[in-house]
Amino acid sequence: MKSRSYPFIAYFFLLPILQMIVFNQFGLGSQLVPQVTLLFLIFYPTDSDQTLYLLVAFLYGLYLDILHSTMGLQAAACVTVAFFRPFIITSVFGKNYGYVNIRLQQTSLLALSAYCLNIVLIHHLVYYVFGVSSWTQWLQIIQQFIFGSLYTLLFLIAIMFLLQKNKQ
Amino acid sequence: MQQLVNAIIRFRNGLVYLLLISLSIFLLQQSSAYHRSLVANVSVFFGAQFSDFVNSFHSYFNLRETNRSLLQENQILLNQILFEEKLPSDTLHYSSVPLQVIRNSFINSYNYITLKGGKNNGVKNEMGLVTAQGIVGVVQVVQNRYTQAISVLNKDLKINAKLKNSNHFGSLTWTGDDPTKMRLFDVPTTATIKIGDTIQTGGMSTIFPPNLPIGSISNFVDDPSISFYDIEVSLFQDMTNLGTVFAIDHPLAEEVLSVQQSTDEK
Repeated sequence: MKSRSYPFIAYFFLLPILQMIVFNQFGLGSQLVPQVTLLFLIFYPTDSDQTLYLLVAFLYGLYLDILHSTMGLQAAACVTVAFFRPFIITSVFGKNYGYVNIRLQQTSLLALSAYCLNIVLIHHLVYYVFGVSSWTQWLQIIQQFIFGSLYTLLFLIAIMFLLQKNKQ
Repeated sequence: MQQLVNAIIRFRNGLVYLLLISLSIFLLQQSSAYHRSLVANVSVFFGAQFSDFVNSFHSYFNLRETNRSLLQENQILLNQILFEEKLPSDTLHYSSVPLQVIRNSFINSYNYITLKGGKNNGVKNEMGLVTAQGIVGVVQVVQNRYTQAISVLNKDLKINAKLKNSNHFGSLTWTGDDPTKMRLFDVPTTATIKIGDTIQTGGMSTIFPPNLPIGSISNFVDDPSISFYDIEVSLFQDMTNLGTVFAIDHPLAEEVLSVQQSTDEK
């Protein structure tokens, strides 16, 4: 196992715990919670094997499901993010990024934000669409999707900004 | 054959994705009680102890709020003792088990509550969970030290409820939008209702005793094409803020269920 995998094993277990202890307390109203657990899927090495990434994302989603009693909802959302990530990376950063990792300090916050926006939109689309059973509430689903995505994105950008400043 | 193998290798990520998303949807769509309780059991086993730790951390900072809530509950109980009618002597004597909420979700369509306390404390399956303000959920999975309950904010749960003033019964359910409101269906339009009327438990099951407060009517639709109201109920209990709840034990639950079962078989 490569030594650079160790931090990601720690992130795999610690981010969901941090989400429960800290970020769940930032629930806006009662329906919107910033899902910063997405940082793991965002910064998972881009040059790693895509099949392995799909499996890791699925297990990560299942772990979140177990912690939050969401019965497969996060697993579906995370594995969809993992599937579409190569396309997002190519469209935001260009073709070279399949071979070079996304580094927080060396990438502009604007590009990172655009990348995160795509990841968050895909995750939240699956999360909210699969989470409802009745399409009579389509307006509510759209509202939750839009505001939930913006709220999560706001937190992700703020965290990345703080980490960039801190490392400089 | 070689071409098939090559095609599988080439599109392996797509195939793995389809397999994993199918597995997720399978987990998500499992509506049978067995599968749900299987997943819930795993969730309680792994998640409850961690939630217990997190909750102990948070509860320290919420002592002021807990104190206020307990004072409010005490006041309601005192009022019941002083002013409520004395119960007739043949009324069933329900017992209750206090349980501490260590995890309470309310942002999904199917929400669950995890509680500290289980078989060791006398909790049984299908017990109703209440507070002095109203109903909270129904016990679904019981382990020795932890319990998981279906929250009233879960689209799968339907609760028998009635109007306090007229004894018309209906079915109370959550539609998945606002955690402070539920919908009461199947109340006939022959009933006279107005905004502010109290909704109580109907007591037609062994889960909740009759006449427990649930909420008040905040809005209703009287559609002449159907002969039933569509009533919006504002819950008395704030489901986003739960501390200690009580699991209600129906004294004759087993007898009632066995009678119902034998009737169904006939």
